[in-house]
Amino acid sequence: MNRVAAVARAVVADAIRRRIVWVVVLFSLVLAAMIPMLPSYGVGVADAVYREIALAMTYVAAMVVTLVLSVSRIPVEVERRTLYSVLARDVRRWEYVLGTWLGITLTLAAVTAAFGGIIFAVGWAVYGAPMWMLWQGVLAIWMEAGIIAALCVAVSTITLPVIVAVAALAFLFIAHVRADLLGGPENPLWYAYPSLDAFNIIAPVSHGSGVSLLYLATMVLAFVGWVGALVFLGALGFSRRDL
Amino acid sequence: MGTLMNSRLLAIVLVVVLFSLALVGQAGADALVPVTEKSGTGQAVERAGFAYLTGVRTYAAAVLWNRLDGLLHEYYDDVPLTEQTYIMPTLNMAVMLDPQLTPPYYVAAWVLARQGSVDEALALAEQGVENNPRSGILLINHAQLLSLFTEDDVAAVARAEEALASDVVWVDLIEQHDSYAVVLAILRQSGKTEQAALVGREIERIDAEIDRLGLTVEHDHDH
Repeated sequence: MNRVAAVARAVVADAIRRRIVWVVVLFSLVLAAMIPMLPSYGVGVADAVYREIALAMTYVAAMVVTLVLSVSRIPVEVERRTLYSVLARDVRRWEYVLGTWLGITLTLAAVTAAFGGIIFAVGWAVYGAPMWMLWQGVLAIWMEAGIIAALCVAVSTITLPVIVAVAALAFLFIAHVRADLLGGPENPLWYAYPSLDAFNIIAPVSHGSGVSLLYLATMVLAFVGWVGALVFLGALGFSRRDL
Repeated sequence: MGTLMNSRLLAIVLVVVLFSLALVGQAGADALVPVTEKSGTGQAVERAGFAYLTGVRTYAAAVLWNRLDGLLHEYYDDVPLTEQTYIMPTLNMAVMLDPQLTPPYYVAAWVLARQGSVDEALALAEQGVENNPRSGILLINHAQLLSLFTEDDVAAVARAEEALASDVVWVDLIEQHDSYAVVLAILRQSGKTEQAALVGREIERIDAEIDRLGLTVEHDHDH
């Protein structure tokens, strides 16, 4: 596990060095802080609209950061041959893949937590009440970003960054159109369709009273399943690759 | 050979188990998801695909309206609203992006009506009410257009009376005060003097409340 942690630390350190992550985060935080300055919505739902926009901004920023961090990480390491010095230190390939995903996901945790802190503080300051439910939304966004990172890492073990980006965007699209494609649970394919809708809780968080602890547990279950399968496939693909 | 087969089998089983775990979590979430309704306006949000993008759409609509609001009040303050046709595409876009953003409905409907496109104006005003049935300003907007640009007094009165309901939402007391004055005029025009007197008394009460709170008029369009 020490070797996995060492790879993860290296990924986090590299993410801190990469200015693009900071630019995206800073720009998005400024936008999030400016949300309350938008015009009045006039139907008595200003705080709900605030939550909706704030979570949407967090989601978009999280996905951008995910793609920036994970699409090219492994291909660049292979291309620059820096990977060889890592593997020469007795780091197994599966440990490298797992550590890479872990580092990206830890960075995403810091990014989404920063977002959560800002939108929570701004919401509290402007609307006079703490919006604790926002953290549920932030958690769901982080989990979905973690799954997308796992997909990117898995695909990037066998192909080029451009293809990884296309695959990630295609997966995001496919995973969010289940209801449009299949209609509802009466469709026999409904429960077998690869969907990320479990993490889509923006409506109950923005306009309702959030989700239950049991619901959060199902999210964790789906997260573990998706990440486990994708990272395992990534490790499998990487172990067979001729470097 | 046997070891290789075993490890392959193990890998396949592991992947299947992990994907099954994801699907079980997904099914559990399906069973437990709460259903919500955006702002009580009748527009169900539920778990539509890419629900996060609705937040982005709302943001974009608000930005569009913010831009127009600045132009209306800073650069074209002296130009009658009906001559500001350049704003129509942006207003349409804002309504399309966010059906809950109320100002574009009444501004665009008023511009259309004053330019002679009464049917289009009424359709837009009605669409605004359908999407925001508790918005006082949109109920009044529709009632006023019916009263001024059609001869359908019955529909105008019915719509105006809807704005008097207790669950109708107003941005502030000044908006409510000005809107009740419109209701008063519509009721008087239709000969409903008793109801008009009641509304008149309510206006006096709101007026007193505005004075007590020291509120001032900060914003008004030319209608």
